[in-house]
Parts: sequence; C-alpha cells; structure tokens
Amino acid sequence: MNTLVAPTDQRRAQAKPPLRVALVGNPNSGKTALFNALTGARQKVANYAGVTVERKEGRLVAPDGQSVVIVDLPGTYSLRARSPDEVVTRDAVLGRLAGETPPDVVICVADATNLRLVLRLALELRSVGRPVVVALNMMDIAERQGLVIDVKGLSAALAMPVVGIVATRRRGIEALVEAARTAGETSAPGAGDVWREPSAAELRALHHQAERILTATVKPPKRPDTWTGRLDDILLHPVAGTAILLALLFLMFQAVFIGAKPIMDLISAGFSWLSAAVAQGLPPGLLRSLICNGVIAGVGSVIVFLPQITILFLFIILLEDVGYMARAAFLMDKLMGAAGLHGRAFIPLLSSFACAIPGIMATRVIDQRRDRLTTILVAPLMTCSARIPVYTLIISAFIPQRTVLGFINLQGLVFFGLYASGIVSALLVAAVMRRLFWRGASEPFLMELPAYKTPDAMNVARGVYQRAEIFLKRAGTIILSMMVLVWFLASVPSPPAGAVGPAINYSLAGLIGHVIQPVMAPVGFSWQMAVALIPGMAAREVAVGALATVYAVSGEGSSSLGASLAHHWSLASALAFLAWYVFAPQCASTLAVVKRETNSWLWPTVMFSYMITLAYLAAFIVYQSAVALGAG
Amino acid sequence: MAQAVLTYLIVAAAAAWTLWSMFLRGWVRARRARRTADRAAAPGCGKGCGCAD
Repeated sequence: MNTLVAPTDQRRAQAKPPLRVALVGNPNSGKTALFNALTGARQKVANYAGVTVERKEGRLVAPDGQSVVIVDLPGTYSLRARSPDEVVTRDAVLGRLAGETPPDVVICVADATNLRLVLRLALELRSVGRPVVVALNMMDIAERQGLVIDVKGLSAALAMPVVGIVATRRRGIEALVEAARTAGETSAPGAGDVWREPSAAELRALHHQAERILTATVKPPKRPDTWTGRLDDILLHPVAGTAILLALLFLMFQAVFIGAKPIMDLISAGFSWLSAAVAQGLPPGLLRSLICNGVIAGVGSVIVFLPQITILFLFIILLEDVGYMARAAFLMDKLMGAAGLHGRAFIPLLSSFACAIPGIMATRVIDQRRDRLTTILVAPLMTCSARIPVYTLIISAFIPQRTVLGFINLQGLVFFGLYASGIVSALLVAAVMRRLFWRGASEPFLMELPAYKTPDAMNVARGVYQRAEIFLKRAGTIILSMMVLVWFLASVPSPPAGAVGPAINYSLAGLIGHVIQPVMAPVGFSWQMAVALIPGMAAREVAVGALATVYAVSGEGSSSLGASLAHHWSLASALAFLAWYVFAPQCASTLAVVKRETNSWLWPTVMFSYMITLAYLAAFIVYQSAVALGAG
Repeated sequence: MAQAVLTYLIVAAAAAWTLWSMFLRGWVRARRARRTADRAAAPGCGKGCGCAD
C-alpha cells in the first residue's frame, strides 16, 4: 500500500469509508504511469469477470488515513464504446459492470501536450453525473514545448477541478488525491442511471464545445517545438527513418549476444557447481538422477537465458518510453497495410515479441472482425521470448563466434535473421489469409504521435523486472514440472539385464522418440529431437530443458548442452530445427487463448494446421538444401 | 527404498500440477466467470448476487 504522506491523524482515519477512484483517459495519456505513482508497487492484476480485459487495482492511504482504491481502466477516446476494452471502461464508469462497485470519483487523465480529444471525453464523463477531476499529465513537457495552459480557466470552462501533474516524477500527486477526495464528498448514488449513449450529432456538438474551450484556455507555443519536429523529419523519413529503425533493431540483437555472454557463463558455471555439489551430497540412485539430470540440467539450461531476455526487453521498453515505438508503428503502417494488416495491429504484433498471449489479447483494440482475426492468426509468428532460449542455444552451438565485414557479430546476425523471418512470414501469411478469407480494404488508421521524452528509470526498471519475473516464474513452475516428467519418461523402465547401449534407449522416452522419428526423418530430426518436441508443446523453451535432460540421462552430455548438440547433431539438422521453431505452433496456451478470444475451435484449428504445415515444409527445405550443399 | 518412494512422489506431484495448470485451471476459471456473468444478467437487486427481489 502506498502512503502519500506519513499519516498524522490515524484516529479520524478509520471512520472514513474507502474512496473508489477510476482512472479514465485516452490511450498513451500516462494513465498507467499515474496509477504506478499513486499505488506504488502494490497492485493486483486480474481480469474482469466474464471477459478477458485486464483489471488493475491498487490502494493508497491518504494523509488522514483514509483508504483510496484506484482502478486503472482501459484507454478510450469516448464513452461511445466500440471495442471490448472500451465497453469495460464505459460500464465501469457508469457502474454497470457485473461484480464491480461503482466509482465515487473519476479521474480523467489528460496528456497536457495533446488536449484536443481528451477534453471531449471529459465533457462526456461530466454527463454521467459522477464527480470528475481532470489530471493534466506531462505538464513538464508542455512547459518545455512552450504551451501555456490556463488551468483555472480550463477548470471553470469544464466545471470540474483540474490539477497539473507529472506522473513519472510524482509531481502534483498529493494535490490530485486531495482534489479527488474533496470531489468524492459530493458523490451521489444512482449516478450513471440516466446516462444514454450520445448520438453522432451530440458528439459533434461536444467536439465543437471542446474546441472552443481549447482555443480559450491553451495558447500554442510562441516558437514551435523544433526538437520533436526536427527529429521526426529524420525518424519518419520513408528511407532514412526505415534505415534507422532497421539499424536500431540490428543493434538490439547484436547487444543481446555480445552483452549477455559473461553473465550467461557465470549462471551456467553456477548450475554446474550446484549439480556437482548435489551429486556429492546424495548417494547414487533415482533421487540423485532426478535432481541432477532432471531438475538442475533441465531448469538450469533454460534459466541461463535470462540475461539475453533482460537485455532484449531493456531495449524494447526504453524505445517505448522515449516515444519511438509510435514512430515505428507509423513507419510500418504502409508495409502492414500492403499485407492487409490494420495499422492498429502494430501494438498487438509488437506485444507478441514478448509473448503471443498478451499480443492476441491486445487485438481487442481492432474494431473490424476480419482485421482482428488476421492479426490473431499471424501474432504467434512474431518471435516471442520463449523462442530465445531455443534460438540462442542452437546459434551458440553451431554458428561460429566471429565477425563479418570487420564489425558484425555473426551470431547476432543470424539471430536478427530469425526475427526478420518471423516478421516477413507474418506479413506474407496475413496477405494470403486476406486473399483467402476476407477480401476488401481495411479502415484507415489515425494515430497521434506522443512527444519525445527522457525515459523514466523506474518505469524501465519495473518493466524489465516484470519480464524477468515472468520468465523465472515459468522456469519455476511449468518448466520445472515438465522437466520432472521428461526425466521420468527418460529413466523408466530400467534397461533389462545384459542390455547394451545407453539406458535411455530402453525408456518410455526412447520408445516414443523411435516411434515418431520416421515421420521426422525427412527434416533431419533425430529421435532425441523428436522427444524434445513433445513437452515443447507446453511452452517452446521447454524443448531446451528436455534436450538437456535427455542428453544428461543418456550419459552423452558433454560439459554443456551446446557442446553435446554440436557433437551429436549435423549442421543441417540444427538449421532445420531453427526453421521448425520459426513456424511451429509449440504453445498450448496460445491455442487456448485463440479459442477464448474467437469463441470458436475453428480458428485455433486453422492456426495449428497452417503453422505445423509451414514448420514441416520450412524444416524440410532447409534440411534438404543444407544436405545438398554438403552440411549433412 | 525411501529414495525411490520420494522420487515417485515428486513425479506424481509434477504430473498432477501439470494437468491442473495446463487443462483444469483454465476450465474451472472459465466456468466461474460464466456463472458470475449469468448471475449479473439475472433479474434481482442489481448487485449481481443472483437474488430476484
């Protein structure tokens, strides 16, 4: 629980009932930054009942001890809701959301540098009948840009309190909470009952009213904001801008390989030491084999990739915080439009680089069903973080650590190529899907570019920490349990008396692997690779742990998993494995989310079928070509 | 003997947890969410408690 100021009078405190405050605002207005500033790290993230829209709630304690509950609602431009997210925001504000207590006060979060659309939303919120307080966020940037905002005049014109804040620096937060609490005293039950959706004509009238208020209360800068303008001239240039975008991505993947190596070596050495210590402390037997070959070898081989994931997300979150990602969306819009993807698909596809699940859930911002389905179907082709352990393991084992053209790290280049393959495949598949299922043009896409700003260190650190936490949580839960099961399959039954060859050949895993292997032989997969693909259906990175366990149990493991693979696999098989992983639908959770989001088994079936076909074809072509070129 | 029993207990726990987290948990949550939504849609006091006052 975040305490704004040390409580001075806790006695009066207990008497006051908790105040419920809803945060409403346009997307990118800094709502989440304000939510973080108000509630600190103590937040509860869940879904709204019956829908898959994320619900974030936090608490703070006011100076007199009153508890204030803050709910962060999805971004919207109007209460005339069109997407499922916007419906949740509207219903929450109106107090019509099942299982939700209506808010006492609404804080309308406004980007002070861009008030045009949010003023109309504030006027719409006023018509609901609940007390509304406007939080003018990013006041520092507005001041730097030379914008002069008459806060008192704005408050009078809107007939609601207006407070200037800088959420990322916690400036004005106390005044905002005080204004919300004062407004909350006038809250009346039954507000929202008489609200009805405004007609198009009423919305136009509200828009004109907002324009008049804007003209009267906001003076544009005397000199234009030359920095943002000059930077955008370069960064949004069709040729120079695209080249800079590619260079940034390229730099990011180089950094992932070069920067992470020392820490990865350290983690790897730590797990080796742990395994040796356990082996020394436990008598030989099943339990020692389970802990050393199953748990430590399996889970350790996945955790070792944490530094790479951290570096990748540090770059992504930094670029987002600076304001560059919206520019990247602008640059990609033309290319995405040519492939039949809507401009709003950029953010879901970008989220899919972390994980396809939030990416698919983020497609709710797309209004048209056909645009949304196209985006859902191609989202898993974007390279998610679960593929990173698979890619980096194979690249480290088979691609030499050397530079080309004097400065380009070859391993980083291959990694970049795999990411590019994912993006190009997504665009091609989207184009084919649109031709097959949904012909016709998409609706035009309008987007506002935020001003550039200095990244907030705490925001970036929190984002990177959350990604690392998710990765480690998966390693400690689903990957751990799968590794125990893989170890069991690879160790039971024991080989018969007088058996020759590694014990794993006689195990259940050996049996399954040998059954599947003929199907996978044309793509160059050995039976050990085939076995690893099965638990890999739960999550892609599980395959890495499974390979580690299979080679550890068979006693064929060298000093590291990479060295084992380099010893047992041909280059052609390794390249085919990479090609397989660009396309393979190896994630049961993604398929489950597609079912939930589309409310049909048809689309997960379509997704699984096309992805497994592409994976097999790609692996087959790569393997056969590599063998023909002498890499078999 | 004790080692083997402990090992198989760990394997059984891992199997149960995998089954729960991959299949059963999603089904239970979806069922609960559906019930909440049905209750909210039912006539009553408007609090979503399911009563028909």
